[in-house]
Amino acid sequence: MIYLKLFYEFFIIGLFTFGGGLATIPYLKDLAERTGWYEVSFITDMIAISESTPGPIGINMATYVGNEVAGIFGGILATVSEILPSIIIVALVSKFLFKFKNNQGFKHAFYGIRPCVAGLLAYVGVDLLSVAILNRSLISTVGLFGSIDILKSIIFLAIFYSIIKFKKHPVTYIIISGIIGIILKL
Amino acid sequence: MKGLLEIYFTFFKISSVTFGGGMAMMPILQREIVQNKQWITDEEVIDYYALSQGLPGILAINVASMIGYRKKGLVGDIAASLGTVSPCILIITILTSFISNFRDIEIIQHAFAGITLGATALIFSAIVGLWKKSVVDKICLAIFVITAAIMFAFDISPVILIILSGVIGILVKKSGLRA
Repeated sequence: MIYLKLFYEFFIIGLFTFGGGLATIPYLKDLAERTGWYEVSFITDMIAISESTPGPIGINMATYVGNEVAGIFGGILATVSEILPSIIIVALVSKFLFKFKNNQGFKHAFYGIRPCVAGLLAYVGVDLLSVAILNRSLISTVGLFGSIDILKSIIFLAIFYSIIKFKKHPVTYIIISGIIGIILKL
Repeated sequence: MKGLLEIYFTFFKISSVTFGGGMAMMPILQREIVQNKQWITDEEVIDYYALSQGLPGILAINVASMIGYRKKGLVGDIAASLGTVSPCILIITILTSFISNFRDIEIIQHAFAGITLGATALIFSAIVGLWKKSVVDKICLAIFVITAAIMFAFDISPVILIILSGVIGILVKKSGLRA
């Protein structure tokens, strides 16, 4: 039953995501690998669309994946499943919210969880980068370094540098990189 | 009911003009909820953000839920959350049906090949941002490196690593270990 599975998967993602929407990406990659519902390369398309359309990116990505997997109803179901843990948890803890804020155990757990979230995203980043700039079909003949696409690597570094340097809105970089892709026929 | 609809449509409006993550929603929340509606104060918005980052769940939804709960309890919580996701569901659903049709066009394929590089660069900038906030000592550095290494080496669910890191965080702090 695809809908039941969608509900379960996105409920778990909602429950174990800490922080902003990009923190859900490691789960979406894991989901792709376990279920085969979509390709891992689909993730960068999804990020692009979700960053360039209104609405919080984590929610957009849930709708996008659900849509891809099981049509319009799948999109709605994935989204609602992902936000259900938030609705429940906020309702449960709201009465004690401000005691929670200074709860030591909570703070201590987050001391460990934050670098873990960063590590998970680093893994996904490196993996997506290898998909983006390596000619995977060439690795067996010319080796890992020989298969690096120099042009794409330079474009990646240039965009990364300008994000750090100019701090413009993500949509700006999505549009610019799309235009670069068209001009250079990537 | 009128109050609930107002909560729903207020968050619908806020979400419709938010581009990016939950943090991008903050200035819009402050304008709509604090200045226009005067439901809560600026300080409360900041507190809600701090709390939301310490709770499981998507940041934007946690914040919306808290404001909704503060106004009308559980039904307010649900109205605010649904208001936030409704524009996403509408827009993405319409867009994806178009995109699958566009995907075969050559120029779109070139555009997406470029966008792949841009989106990956955005992930790296997010990693840098997370790194600055989270890797504050050697123990955090170890958790960061080991997490990434385990993900490369083994087929393991990120959920397990999140839970383990939380436990490690508590144990390290309780034992008073200094990094």
